[in-house]
Amino acid sequence: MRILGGEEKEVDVEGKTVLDVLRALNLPSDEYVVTRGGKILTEDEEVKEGDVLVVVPVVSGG
Amino acid sequence: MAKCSVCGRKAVYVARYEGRAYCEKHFLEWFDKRVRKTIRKFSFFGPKEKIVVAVSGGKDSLSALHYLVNLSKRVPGWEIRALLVDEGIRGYRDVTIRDFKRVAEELGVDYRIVSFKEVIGASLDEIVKIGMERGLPYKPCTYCGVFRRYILNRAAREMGATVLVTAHNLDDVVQTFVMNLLRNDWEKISRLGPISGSGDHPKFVRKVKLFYEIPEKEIVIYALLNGIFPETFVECPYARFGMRWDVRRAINAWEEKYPGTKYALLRSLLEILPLLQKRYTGTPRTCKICGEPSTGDICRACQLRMELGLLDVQV
Repeated sequence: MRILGGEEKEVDVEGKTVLDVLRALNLPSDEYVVTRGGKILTEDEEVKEGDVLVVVPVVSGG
Repeated sequence: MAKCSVCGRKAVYVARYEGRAYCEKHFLEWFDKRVRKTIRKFSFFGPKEKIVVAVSGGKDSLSALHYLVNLSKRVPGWEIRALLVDEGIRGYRDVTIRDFKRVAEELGVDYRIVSFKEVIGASLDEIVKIGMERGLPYKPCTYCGVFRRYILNRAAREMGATVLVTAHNLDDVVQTFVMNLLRNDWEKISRLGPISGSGDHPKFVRKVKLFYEIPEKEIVIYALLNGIFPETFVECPYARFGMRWDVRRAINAWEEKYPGTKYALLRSLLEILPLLQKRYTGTPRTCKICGEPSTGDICRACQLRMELGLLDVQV
């Protein structure tokens, strides 16, 4: 998993969806868009072992 | 997997506040429809306009520029140009300028870049340092906000703009609303309408907030789908200094729990605005030092410059 502008890390998540991943990382879903292979995923999208996700921050902060 | 409420294809976005989902194609159509509705509702533009878009190189202003350049293809009386204010924030603005130039060139838009250094006399990094040395009580965002607005108005006027577009979005507006509620600053709230700077002062350029009714997250999706999302993600080093950071977190937590909160806040704001505008409308005045529009004898930008020792005048 890569958080754009932040660190790249591997996470073990209990649960199966994009929303579960965001919750596990303590990231509010309104502040991030998650993509996989350049495609935007909705929060109910299933993720599986080995998926590479990019978490794009919504907040530009200036 | 969420499916598009229009065509049943795989969705890229679920608008929880209206209980609908959209695929790539229908998201873009829906986005366009709503921005056009905002433009019509608040009468942002006439058939003949010299539009200057204030840009930073971030995803909001790049999307505003991209959106208006495309819309202007259907409106022959519009001329679109861009204006970037370079505050001088190392490791941040120098990076976003690169992204801006790439998109501006792709779109074939004329632009102008004006720096704090050339107008104010120092970069924001230098200003923050001077402010700390002098023990001034201001946060970086205070200097940045005041000087940026000042330069935008002046430079847009010099470019012959009939209207200045900023990319302020729904999140920006409701965050500022709540911040000023917490500070009991109703005068600042009175300036949060979709159009500002519309006073009678001849040097004011009318300012419109293009994404007034569009959530920030939807702008990110618009930018990603159009391939204009900034290549390098950088956060303003001063972003976490402000109260906005905490207010944003709180509002986003409410929105997650109670979808529709942001629009409810916006409707509350629009309900109270006419009363506040009546209460706080003063006759615009002219700054005795620089001749720019001001609410008092001396404008806020000149006051700050004096406090920073960047303006040598006796008043």
